[in-house]
Amino acid sequence: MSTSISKDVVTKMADLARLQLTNEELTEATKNLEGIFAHFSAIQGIDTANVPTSDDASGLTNVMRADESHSQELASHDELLDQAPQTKNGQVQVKAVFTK
Amino acid sequence: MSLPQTIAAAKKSLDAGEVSAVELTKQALAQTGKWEQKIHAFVEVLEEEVLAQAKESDKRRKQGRVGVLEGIPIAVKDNICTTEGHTRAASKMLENFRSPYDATVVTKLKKEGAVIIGKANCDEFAMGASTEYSAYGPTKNPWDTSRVPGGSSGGSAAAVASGEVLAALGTDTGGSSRHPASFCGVVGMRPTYGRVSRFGAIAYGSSLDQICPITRTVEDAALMLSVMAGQDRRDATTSSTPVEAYHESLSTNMKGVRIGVPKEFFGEGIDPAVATIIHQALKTFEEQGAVLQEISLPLTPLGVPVYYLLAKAEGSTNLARYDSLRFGKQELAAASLIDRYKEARGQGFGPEVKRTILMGTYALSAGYADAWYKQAAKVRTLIRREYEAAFKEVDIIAGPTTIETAFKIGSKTGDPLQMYLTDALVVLQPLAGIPAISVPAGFVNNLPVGLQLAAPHFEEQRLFAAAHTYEQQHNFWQKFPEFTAAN
Repeated sequence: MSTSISKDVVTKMADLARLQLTNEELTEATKNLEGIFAHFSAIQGIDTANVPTSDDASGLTNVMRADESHSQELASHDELLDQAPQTKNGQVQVKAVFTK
Repeated sequence: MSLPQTIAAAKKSLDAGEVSAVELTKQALAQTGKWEQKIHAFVEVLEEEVLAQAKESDKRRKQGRVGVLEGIPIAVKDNICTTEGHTRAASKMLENFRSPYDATVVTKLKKEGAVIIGKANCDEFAMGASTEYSAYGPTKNPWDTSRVPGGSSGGSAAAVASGEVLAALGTDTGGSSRHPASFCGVVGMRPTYGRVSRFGAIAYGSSLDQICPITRTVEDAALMLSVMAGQDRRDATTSSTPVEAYHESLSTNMKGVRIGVPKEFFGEGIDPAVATIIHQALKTFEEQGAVLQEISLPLTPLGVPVYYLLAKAEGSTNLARYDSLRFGKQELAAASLIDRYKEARGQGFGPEVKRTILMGTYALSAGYADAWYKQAAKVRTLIRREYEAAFKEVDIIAGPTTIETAFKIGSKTGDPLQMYLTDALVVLQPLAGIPAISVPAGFVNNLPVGLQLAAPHFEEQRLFAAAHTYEQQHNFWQKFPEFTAAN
């Protein structure tokens, strides 16, 4: 099958993924992805009718766990806040999500 | 006195009182000081912190509290969280990040007395096969500094190969510990998925990531894994399968052990000189009574497409959290929130990480997900079945770790597909979820070649025993790269 990679598609992917690309990066990425996905299209010829996807690698199943608090175990509130680029009144300060 | 060559030897010297943890650490720091200008295996050397840890270790020893790794200096790959130093995953995005907690493996190693000498260089977010994609500059191969150390755990492997440290932690999503181990002539061991907690390892492909020991000998890798392995409440994919003292029962009788040799592992693309070395290594097993059996794993050529489609899809999802709010540069020109995301990610990520985001987003996006992501996840099932069937016929699967020896710096960065194809023989085991080990098997033009062995799920002991038996037949691990003015 055709890989349908084009500059427009790559631009759309970059936009969906919130990734700024320069013009050179866009040209380079389009060229590279065309080649990569052309090679990857080898998987299209494999008959996978009735084959399940392998979403889980461990073979484990879900278990219920006691509802216990472990909040102070790894790091304190202050230690965690200390990681944020900006804080205000004991909270992480970020750029406003909603504008007036 | 020079640094002991292995953890086992260092433990003996420490136990006999011939050397203290502080002395051992100072020797490691001296070796690091010598080699770093040539190979750049570390993003950060934690001289002060490690000496303080070594002092504490000596104190504990005096009090009779001696852990399994008491006083042993190790390196930790930069994508594994440590409270000492930074944890940057070799990315500009995490330039200022210091982890407030240790990864579970780091906690376990510290509890047994290990001291952390520094953060080892790697490809940015572990995405790469040469360590050239580190935002802090490439690591060089100590055997030939014009060549790459492999990747993505290239700093970890180079640090062990040059004798800067006795052991290092790497990670392996699709070969990132075994590939550089092969290129650098050291042991790299990928455990069964779920054997070691991934808590505190910065995620790349969550259904594939494992933390791995990189050491000089199989015995040391077995010792490290026996400390690292086990169920962890903080990683729901860890298994309750009991952990063995892998290093305590390494002697094995190879008589009658069935070793499967997939013919596809010697197919197109493999360097004939590498193939010759591996055939010699396999003969060693035969001489010890093992039975070599040619097998076929026809899906082998699809390993790279399936692995990269899944890893990049999972990687692009995991990278969504780097949004300039919690991590990354704050001084941005853009005004709107969305434009700030775009700018921060455009500036903070390097070329392979950007490629991951684009490839993964494409493989997962509406209209393309069935053809790419889902089809890859189904073929993964078929690859897993292929291995399950093979292990009904044989006990171990053996072949080369890499199709070639270490390549020249800059020779593949212009062609990402060629970079992916260097992983051809190391992506299959993670897809199947099985353990695998790379052990030094000889040299081609003074560049190391790795022999790769794989076993069924949770058969780490079988793997270590066979690899150890092989290692006993030669002395490749005792050969160190020469430090000369020329290299």
